[in-house]
Amino acid sequence: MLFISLFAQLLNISVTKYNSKNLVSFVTPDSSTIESVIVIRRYDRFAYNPGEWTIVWRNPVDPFTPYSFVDSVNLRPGIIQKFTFFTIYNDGEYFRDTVSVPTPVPPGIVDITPAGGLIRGERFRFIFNSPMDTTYSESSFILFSFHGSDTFYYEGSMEVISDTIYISPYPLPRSCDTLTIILKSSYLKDIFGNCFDGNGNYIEEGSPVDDCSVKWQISVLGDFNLDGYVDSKDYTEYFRDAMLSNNPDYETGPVDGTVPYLVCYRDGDMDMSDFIGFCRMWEYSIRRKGMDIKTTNGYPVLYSSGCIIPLYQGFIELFTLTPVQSPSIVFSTEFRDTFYYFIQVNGNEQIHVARPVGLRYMSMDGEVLGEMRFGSPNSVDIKIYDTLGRRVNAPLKNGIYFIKSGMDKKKMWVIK
Amino acid sequence: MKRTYILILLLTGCTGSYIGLPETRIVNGPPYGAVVDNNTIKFVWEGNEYTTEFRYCIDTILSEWTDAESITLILDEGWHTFSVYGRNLIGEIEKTYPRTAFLVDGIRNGFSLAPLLDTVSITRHFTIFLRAETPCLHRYEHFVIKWDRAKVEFSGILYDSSSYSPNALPVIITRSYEDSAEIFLSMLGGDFPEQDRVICSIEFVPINSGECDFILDGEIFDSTGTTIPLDTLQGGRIVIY
Repeated sequence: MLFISLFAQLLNISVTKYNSKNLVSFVTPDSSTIESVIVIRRYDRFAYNPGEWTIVWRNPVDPFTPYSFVDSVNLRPGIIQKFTFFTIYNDGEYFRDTVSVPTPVPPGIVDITPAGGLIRGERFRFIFNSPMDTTYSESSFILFSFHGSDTFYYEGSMEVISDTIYISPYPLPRSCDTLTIILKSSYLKDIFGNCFDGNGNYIEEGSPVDDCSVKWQISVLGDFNLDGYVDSKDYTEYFRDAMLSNNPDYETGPVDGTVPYLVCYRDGDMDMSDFIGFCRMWEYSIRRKGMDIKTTNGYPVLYSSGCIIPLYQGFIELFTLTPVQSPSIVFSTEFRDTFYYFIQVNGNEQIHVARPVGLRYMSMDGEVLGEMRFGSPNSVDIKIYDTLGRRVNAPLKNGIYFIKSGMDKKKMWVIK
Repeated sequence: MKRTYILILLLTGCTGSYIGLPETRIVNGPPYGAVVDNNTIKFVWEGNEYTTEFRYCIDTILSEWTDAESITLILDEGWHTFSVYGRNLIGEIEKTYPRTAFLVDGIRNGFSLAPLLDTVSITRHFTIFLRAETPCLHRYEHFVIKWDRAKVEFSGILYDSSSYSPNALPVIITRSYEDSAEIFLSMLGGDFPEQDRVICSIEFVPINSGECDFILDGEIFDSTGTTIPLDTLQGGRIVIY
């Protein structure tokens, strides 16, 4: 916000916005005959002569010396101020410099991320229309969440990068709460000292008039795809991999509080506390959806009506080979919250559930409908073949295999 | 052989004595159906006057012929059978001999690795079992099993689903490293049962001979994530030859 007049008698003339006022600066010319400088501010036009009544500064000056002063008039948006500088010499002659200063608008919010809807609430981004000051950053906002009359206040850190500020709450926002961030106008200023214009009227009014409150709905802890529930999709696509790779972006523990209003105090490690936090919320989501986890013994394993995958669309079969006519050795855990299907083997058959291997669930038309886990390839009761038709006895690697189902071979993909 | 028989017959004929059938009696050891709360069990037996040597069998492992009349065994948790029989001077083997079956249940409210102590050949893979020993009702399990990576190499892990709660969904995550494995277990919709069970089997490949200790660390939690105290966490040792 620097305004410099060309062809000036005075040097380095600038008018900078400072605390809602104008800071006027200049350097006198290197001339021993200089006597004084008169500065006149008008709104309608530049001054014609140094005798006009709107003088804001008049002082004797020394040659080649920097001067600055703060204009006492508060800035108002939408007004252009015209400063005229008269440099007066001993012989009465004067030179005239002019600077026109449009009043800038106070800083306002251009964009907020996340915009709305369900959020996890790890970090909030506010983009302003002006570079922001980092001073008082910790006092610039209030962060709390609530459900009913239960309110929880957070610590938070603020990072300012030019016109963007990032606010990260600690701990993670309480699950299922309504989160509120109040931006404090009197503390949140741009680099020129202008207070945040929270109500968007282009006038600096300070706190509490210009304070701005933004609300979000926090999703269930562990709901990484933000569909409102913790389910096997969150587990399979996010949490499990995060646990295996120790990726703290998906932390769900340690937690405090009661389900579903758990507060996650992130510690940077994916450990047992994260596992417990995730599973507790998963159980809560199952109860909230009114679903039962059912086991289906028998032959073949079918989805029944009312499931996401209707009966006629596909099936899974795993058979024992000896005797050939024996029923399916698996029972499935019907899990209706997503397409994911968890398969365990029948306990009587003493087959082990293997470490993570996956099996795509296929429709009759060959469409991939979901994934599942299934029994160990090392089991004597399950025969798995590779693409060359060789029996696989070792733990499965990524790739395509076939599983014998009756007289047919079904293709499956193993994903670790 | 024929000369030996003749010599024995002559000897018995000279002394005028008769060689009867061997008979063995277990003097000390858990009776049939007993529940033993100690993994170290001493068996003492004795034979009649015709019994010169004994052979004992623990589970399916048969000893050599010996004149010893006692043995101290370190046994894993679970059911075991023990039998001992004798033979007489002329090699006649006892037909009906004493046997006993008993349950070693020395660990309650804990977890253990089995075998407690065993020897394996360096040329063969071997398996360690992680067992639950009547733990309290709980919802979450967390285990860390450590080993000497200079001695063995982790090969794979298999979970036993046979003892899962009905209508419950197990959630299992395994993180394996060079010298340890970390196991996270949960049972959505139900608790883990208060009973002995095999949780998983872990396969290893021996690398170097010597003793390799398997150290077990673990914790269990209730449905709210509160830690439930455990009484015992018992590791195991494998001697690689």
